[in-house]
Amino acid sequence: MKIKELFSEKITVKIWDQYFRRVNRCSKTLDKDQQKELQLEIQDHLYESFKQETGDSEAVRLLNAIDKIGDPEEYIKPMVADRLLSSASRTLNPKTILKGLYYNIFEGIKHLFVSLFYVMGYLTAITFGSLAILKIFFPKNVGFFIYRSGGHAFGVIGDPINVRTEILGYWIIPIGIVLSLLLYFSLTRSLRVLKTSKKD
Amino acid sequence: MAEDEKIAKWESQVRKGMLDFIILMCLAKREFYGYELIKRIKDIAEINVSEGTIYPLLNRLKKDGLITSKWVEMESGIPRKYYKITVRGEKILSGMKEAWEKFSLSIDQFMEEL
Repeated sequence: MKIKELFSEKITVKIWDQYFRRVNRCSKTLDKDQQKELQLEIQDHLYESFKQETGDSEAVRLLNAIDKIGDPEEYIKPMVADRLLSSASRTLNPKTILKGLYYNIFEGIKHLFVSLFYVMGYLTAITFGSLAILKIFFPKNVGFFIYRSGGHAFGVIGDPINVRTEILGYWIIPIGIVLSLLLYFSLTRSLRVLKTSKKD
Repeated sequence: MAEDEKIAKWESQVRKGMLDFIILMCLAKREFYGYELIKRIKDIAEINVSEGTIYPLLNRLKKDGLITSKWVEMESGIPRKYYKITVRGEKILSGMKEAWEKFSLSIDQFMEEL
């Protein structure tokens, strides 16, 4: 029986095909036999899970089953890295070893970049908040400055002697607070979404 | 509420850490296929994980020679992969059970002292 004959609605076949395009994309670095084996195993899982779903339309039942099995990008990548390294150690093929290492390192680098992004984001939020407070105590040294030379600076400066003008004045206090809060809440919210999606 | 969340998170981590052990215990009883196995694990251990996460684990256990698999043709046209424990897997499971008993006993004793 063909996959398309398992479903009665075209949209369900489309959803199925889309999901397995993602599965294929994630597992394309495997050799053809491994890729086929993985695809068949996930097909069996998804079809079985779909059959257990009750109520709703066929498409919704498939979407529910997809939701339960999760994103192939999440669960296949470690498996791909593992399989590549395993076949590399068997065949001693340097190309396969490099592929496996790339996958492992790529996951590590991705994690590092995400962490760096959030660290930088929170530091920027703290900086905006600090500028608002510092303006109260050092009004001449905090702001958006235009120098006589034509250059400009935003933040805290040491000696304002070469400054032609300061643009923001005390507006830097509400602007700093608003920017700081906006950045803090949007970063925290996105971090929560990121954590929840990983947990699920 | 924050305390409840913290406890739930800790409990989830403990349960996830037991996945290898639970998989081997299931397979020591009989053969399972992927979907059936994750359903059984969810029932026993009440673990809230994406079902797909079981496949990297099964793959690793197979690679380590603790379990083996075979394909069975199905009426749907999609073949099914069944997993079963190997002799090596049974030995490891037996060691895991002993370690678990020792560990849980020592934790029980420690809790009584508190």
